[in-house]
Amino acid sequence: MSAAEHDMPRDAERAEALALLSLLRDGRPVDELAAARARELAASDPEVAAMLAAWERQAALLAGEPARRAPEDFTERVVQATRQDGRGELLTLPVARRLALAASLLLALTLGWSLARPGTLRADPDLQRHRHAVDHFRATPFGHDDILRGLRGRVRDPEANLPHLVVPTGSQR
Amino acid sequence: MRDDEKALVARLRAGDEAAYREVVDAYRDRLLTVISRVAGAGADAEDLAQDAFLKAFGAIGRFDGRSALFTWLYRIAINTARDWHDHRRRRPTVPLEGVDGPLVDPVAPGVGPEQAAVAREERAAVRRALARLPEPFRSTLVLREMEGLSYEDIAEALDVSIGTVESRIFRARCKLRVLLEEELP
Repeated sequence: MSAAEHDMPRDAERAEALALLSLLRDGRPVDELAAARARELAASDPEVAAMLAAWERQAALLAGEPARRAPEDFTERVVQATRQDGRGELLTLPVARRLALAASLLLALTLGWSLARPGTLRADPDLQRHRHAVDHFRATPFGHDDILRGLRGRVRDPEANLPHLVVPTGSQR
Repeated sequence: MRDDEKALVARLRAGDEAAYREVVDAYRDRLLTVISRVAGAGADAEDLAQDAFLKAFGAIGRFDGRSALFTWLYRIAINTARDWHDHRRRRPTVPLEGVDGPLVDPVAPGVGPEQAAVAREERAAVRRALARLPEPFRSTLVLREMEGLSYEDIAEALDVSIGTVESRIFRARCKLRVLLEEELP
């Protein structure tokens, strides 16, 4: 067996042991037997031991980094900013959503404005004539059953020329 | 979520300024520290921390209370720092010396000038190595080794599983060793 072949399972074993030792370092629950094997390897293998020593050193350096302290007026600045913008949830929306929201608001405003204005459109003259013809049957613009009433009026009119039309009267209904 | 925290969240939702003050006072140093460590050199950590608090207050209606308030704040702070970091990576700038750490490092009393110089160099090296550690390993390691969070809290703050936290911390430690050896031969 070559040295490289011999080292391959050893590397895998080391990696597995180090993963367990990383968990053990932070007090994570690990299988007792596997933990004992990993500790054994750490005691016998200089590479594993060197890695553990490096972790100790870097952990001490990281933990020794001083924490930042916010300036005295920081809290007041945040509260003021919260008060000033008052935008609440809008602040947290991504740009695409904000654009979509702005477009929807613009559309709603445009629609509202258009509908609120007095109409300037006029119907085609032919349509307007037709409208008058229909309106002729109506007693009032919104009267109930007014078209039927108009037809009944026509039937009584000899000029209506509707001999086959039988229109129910109010008492027949 | 504890009852007192529930009450605090309810006050935040109602827009109670005293509640805002309470939360900022309680977490400002921790958020400022974690943001400066995750965002790295060149970041205006105070601005980012303020931004994180504003985002949190703006989104408090979406806080469902499944996690503790502080892990939720950490999540927002880390995302804010990461966003800044990603944005800067797209538009690189030259960092100012000392922005990511204090200009004068504290040295234990009774330490000689030579030892103090070594300690300063080691701290500068670990900052540089940490800045080179890729995400998400950096934020995971910061939360564990520097902030002292439990694996459960880290999982909540980063919105990942415990298994992912375990794997990331192990890999981060191995990667940082290589980077630190490069920075501090």
